[in-house]
Amino acid sequence: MNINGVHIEDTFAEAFGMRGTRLLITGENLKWAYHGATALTGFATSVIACGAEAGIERRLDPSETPDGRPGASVLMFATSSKELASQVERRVGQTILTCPTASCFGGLAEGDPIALGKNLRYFGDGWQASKVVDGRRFWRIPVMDGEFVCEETTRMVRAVGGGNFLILTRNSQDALAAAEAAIEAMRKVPNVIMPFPGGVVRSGSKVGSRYKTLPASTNDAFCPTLRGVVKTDLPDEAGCCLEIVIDGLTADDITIAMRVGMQAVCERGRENGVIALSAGNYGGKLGQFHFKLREIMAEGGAQ
Amino acid sequence: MSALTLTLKQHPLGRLDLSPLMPALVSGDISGLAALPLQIATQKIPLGELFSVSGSDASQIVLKGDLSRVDGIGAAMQSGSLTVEGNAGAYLGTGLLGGEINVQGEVGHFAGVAMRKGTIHIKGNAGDYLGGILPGAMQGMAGGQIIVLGDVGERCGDRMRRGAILIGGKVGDYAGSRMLAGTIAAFGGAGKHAGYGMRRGTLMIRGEINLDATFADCGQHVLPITNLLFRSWVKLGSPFGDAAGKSSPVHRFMGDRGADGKGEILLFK
Repeated sequence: MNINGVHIEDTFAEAFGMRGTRLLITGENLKWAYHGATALTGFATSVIACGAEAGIERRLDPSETPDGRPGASVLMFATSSKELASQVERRVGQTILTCPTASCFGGLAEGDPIALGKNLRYFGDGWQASKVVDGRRFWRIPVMDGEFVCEETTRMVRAVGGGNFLILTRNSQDALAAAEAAIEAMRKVPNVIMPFPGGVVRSGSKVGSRYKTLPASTNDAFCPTLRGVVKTDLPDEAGCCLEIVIDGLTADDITIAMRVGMQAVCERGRENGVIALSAGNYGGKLGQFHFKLREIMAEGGAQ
Repeated sequence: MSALTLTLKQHPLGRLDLSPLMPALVSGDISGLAALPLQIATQKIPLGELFSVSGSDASQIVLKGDLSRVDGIGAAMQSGSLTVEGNAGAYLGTGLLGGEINVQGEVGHFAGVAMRKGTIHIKGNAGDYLGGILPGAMQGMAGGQIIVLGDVGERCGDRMRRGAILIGGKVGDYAGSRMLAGTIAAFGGAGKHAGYGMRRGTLMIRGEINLDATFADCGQHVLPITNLLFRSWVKLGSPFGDAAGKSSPVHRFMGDRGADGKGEILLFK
């Protein structure tokens, strides 16, 4: 398959099951809502060492938030329900409780409830109070700028993490431009986040390493500086490779995000240095969800 | 199926207790309805002698006539709707477990006492002990919502534990007395001794009132929770939703310091 001079590899992205939740962060204005949401989703690129993968899904208008203030919608994913519950509590406790004017609400209607403000309330040292509004319980915790309002629970659902594609280009500048175009388009897709810096990751990994203690290591087949010494997967013209990783609430959401992102990359085409699109395929070792690039693009109308 | 309609044949000479009605209709079977014995003063009289019955859908009940001497209307109701086209007596919706009661006129004392779920809408005024407590019980209203467009009598929400009471007009003396939790909002002011003995919960009153000395003044604040509350009341129309989206400061008092003291009175504009 070839779109606008970009070769689509006959491969698939391998993703795995995760647990996910959506949190709505509001503030006095968008600036402070984003200060909270940015801190909440900081250092949450990969579950390998961050505990959770998180990102800002989109901006929320006052009409879309429970308290009528501007805000941000955040998605957070972890490998188990226990780990997600723990990450939600520590992160909200350290970043939203602390953020001036910010409030925190659950953002999913379905799923199993996990604690949001349920235990954070004890920060109130006995002065905390709850209020049930339309069947949802909110905790009010006195803080130095007034009250921190936090919903008691948020809903957790089975989600999918690790959807991805690789952008292979002539050089680093072309790769950055293509990745930025993809991320800009993908940010408009609901129910997904791209958890890495700017949505893009350069250190794609393979399963295993030569060291006993390291379960994953650099994906040498796509490292341009190792061409000639390892069995490379880089086409001759390719001098750089960047990966976009997607976590989504469902596999369908990831499919849509991958298609939108890959279409944006293909639109830049060969004339902007894009050589090929590939994916992190671990031979079925990593996960149960397989996203076949050619099928995704064919369903999007590509020949 | 048309709504089950009970029309009072004549003004009862004494207080009539209609509380057996809803438990008798739980199965939806109305065949024995006319024979249901009802207590009036010292005697029991079959329902059929007091009311003319038409319609058969027990999930929507309509009561017609001047029922200001009929007590216990909708007591222990579990689901469906009940409409009173006129006034209702005391103990309306006692121990309500679900469903919706609409009263187009006034109601007597003790409406919604010990209710747990569901909604009571009252277009006119309500008497004393609205959403209050039954004798011998530890707590009063424990859930659901009461909406009154008119004024309310004394000791509204006495020992209330959960839920919300919204009052379009003025609430009488001792509003929220001995309250344990929940929300009472009065949009037309309040009488004396508001929040007397309240332990927790929220009493919202529009306008300025004199409070007892056992309430501590916490100052004027913009509270995010009032945003959530006012917004949830927009669907109830004016005056309940009027303050939504304004983020105006409220004057917060905590008390009753003579009791647990974790309750609050919020005076808003």
